[in-house]
Amino acid sequence: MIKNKIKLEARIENWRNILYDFIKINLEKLQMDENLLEKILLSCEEIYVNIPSYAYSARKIGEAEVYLEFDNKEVKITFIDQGISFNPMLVPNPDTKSSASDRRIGGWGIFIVKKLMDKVEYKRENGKNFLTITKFLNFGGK
Amino acid sequence: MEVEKVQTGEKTVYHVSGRIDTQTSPELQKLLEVGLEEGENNIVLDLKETVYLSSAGLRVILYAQKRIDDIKGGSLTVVNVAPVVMEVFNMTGFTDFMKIEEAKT
Repeated sequence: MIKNKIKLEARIENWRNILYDFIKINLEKLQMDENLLEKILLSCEEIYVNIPSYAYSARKIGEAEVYLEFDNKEVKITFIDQGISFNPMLVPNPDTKSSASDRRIGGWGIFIVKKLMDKVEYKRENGKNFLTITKFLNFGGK
Repeated sequence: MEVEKVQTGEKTVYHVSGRIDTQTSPELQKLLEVGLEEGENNIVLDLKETVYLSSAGLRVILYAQKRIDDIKGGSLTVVNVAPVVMEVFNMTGFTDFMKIEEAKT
């Protein structure tokens, strides 16, 4: 299993400036299907942007740590921040049947992650949020 | 993300290329807001060159759809959707209210 990690300032723009390339370059070692890689990157964006948006307030910029663990069986990515307790698993699923006028603007990001990934786990420990997403590569693929 | 806007008759076509993500979607939203303020009411989003759309992009589309629905005779049509983007529209049920067409433009 290959492991790699990065620590960065949890700013929205650091998704595109830093984290996107970090994850992409690492996971490209697995030579997976490009669509699958895009799905994993999309899930990572959805998780990461919650850190500056919700975990940290607009005035205080904190740090985010991202741990990658992967082999040809699974990709596991953990996002850690020291912001306020935020469990995205408690965000209710938006209603996919609602009309445009009734439709909620928010809540779609984590919903997409739950659909695209095989496992989404949250824990709060030592004042930190740990959010881990897992995609199995050889079985149970979505 | 790059956006090219082409007026053809009554239609305003936005050709969007690249990635519609957290960082770029505010720009698209701004362009659509300005267009709507200027009276555009038949809007076509051509996503032929759009390779990626996150929930931030969904929010922009939902915003535009809500605005268009308030305009009598208004329409928002999305054309040329790539498979990965289509999958996002499908899983979120956006396909139920969006007008999605194969492109002619």
